[in-house]
Amino acid sequence: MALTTLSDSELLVEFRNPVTKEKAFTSIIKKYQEKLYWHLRRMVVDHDDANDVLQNVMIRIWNGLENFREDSQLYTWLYRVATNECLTFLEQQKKRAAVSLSDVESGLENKIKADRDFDGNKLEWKLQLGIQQLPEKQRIVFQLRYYDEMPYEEMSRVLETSEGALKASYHHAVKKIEDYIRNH
Amino acid sequence: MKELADLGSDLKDHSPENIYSVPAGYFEGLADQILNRIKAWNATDAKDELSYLSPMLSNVSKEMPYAVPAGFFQDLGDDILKNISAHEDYLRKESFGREEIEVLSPLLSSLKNKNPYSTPAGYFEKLETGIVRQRADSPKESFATFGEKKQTKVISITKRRWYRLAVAAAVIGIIVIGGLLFNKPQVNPVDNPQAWIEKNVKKVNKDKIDEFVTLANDDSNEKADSQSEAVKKAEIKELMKDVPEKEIEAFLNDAIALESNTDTDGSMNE
Repeated sequence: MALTTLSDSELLVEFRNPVTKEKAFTSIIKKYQEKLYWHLRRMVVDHDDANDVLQNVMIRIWNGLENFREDSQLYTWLYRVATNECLTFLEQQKKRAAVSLSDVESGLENKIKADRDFDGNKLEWKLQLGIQQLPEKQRIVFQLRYYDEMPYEEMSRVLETSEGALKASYHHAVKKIEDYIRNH
Repeated sequence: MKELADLGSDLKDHSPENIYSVPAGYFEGLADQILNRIKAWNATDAKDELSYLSPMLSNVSKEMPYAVPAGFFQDLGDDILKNISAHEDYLRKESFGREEIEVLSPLLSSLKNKNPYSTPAGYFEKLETGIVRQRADSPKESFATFGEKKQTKVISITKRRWYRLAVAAAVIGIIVIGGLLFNKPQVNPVDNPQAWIEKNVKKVNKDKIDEFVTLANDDSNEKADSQSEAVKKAEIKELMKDVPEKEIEAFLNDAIALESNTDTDGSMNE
């Protein structure tokens, strides 16, 4: 049976077998690469940065998957690793820039505007700019819910925050972005 | 207003107008907005939730406007596995310098052996002698040649097993004997004089003992003689107390005469 058709649990079994470990890992990458990539790309904006973070995420997955206890869904765990790695990356960016949080965020806004395909009149670009106005964690909440339609129950495991807080955060984020789009 | 007038307040002259403004149509849509938020809060589906929260956003395309390099996702798995291998080689420290750098950057790998720095001519040749001279001046250093240290042959005295055993036995013996001597019960001359004498006599030289015994005998004989002589004199005096003195003198004269006759011919009793 091709590994690409296996469920997450079956892939984990194959991964724990030294003979099929690499094949299983490749299947897991193929299954989740785009979701994880876009999750990161939406946060860091730049493709090269997203690629760097994604590489680090995959190395962490390779090292940590052996001990994954399966007390949550695999993709929940993958998102958690990716989110933490992304936040670490952004933190490092802040330290390197040695500037305040707001300056880093305007840096991301500038990266969006610097994209070769950027069109300030298009709604989807305004949406991206509006998302960058949000604080980091609220940005993650919005993206997980809006783009990935992740259930709050899963999101609370990813972000280790209560469902109620996440819901409130998402609802506020939607309002803010809507206001941004209307005003720009 | 009447109340303010009764109080004598100047506020009665101010018009109670509202200085704050409210967005146009705010109150018209407020009830629907609150109701939609309640529905969104209770929604289980993300799409329904968004439609209640923001109909505008729910109509925006979710397609990302960002571009991705062609074939990025096709090669991603292989690239990641290569990087993991390189990462594991780094962790294992197996040919780290060569393999990892070749994978990560062939350009840097090619530049690795190209050293842009230069050194003065003959630097390394002079370096050795310079260091040797420096070490020769130092009294603590005794290297024959630079970089060579004469190894002193070390012969272990503890190599042979029997030697070590003998040493151990000797040490144990000393400890035991010392313990016995230290713990030996002392003889009290007051409580047990005989044992004390016997113990100490053993320490004395035999010749000294013989000498002592001889002297002791002489002393005791002299004492015995003196003592017996004194007894004899007392007995004679007791016996002769009734004998007249003239008869004693006559007896003594006869005894002297008799003695002199015996000496002349020397054969009286033979």
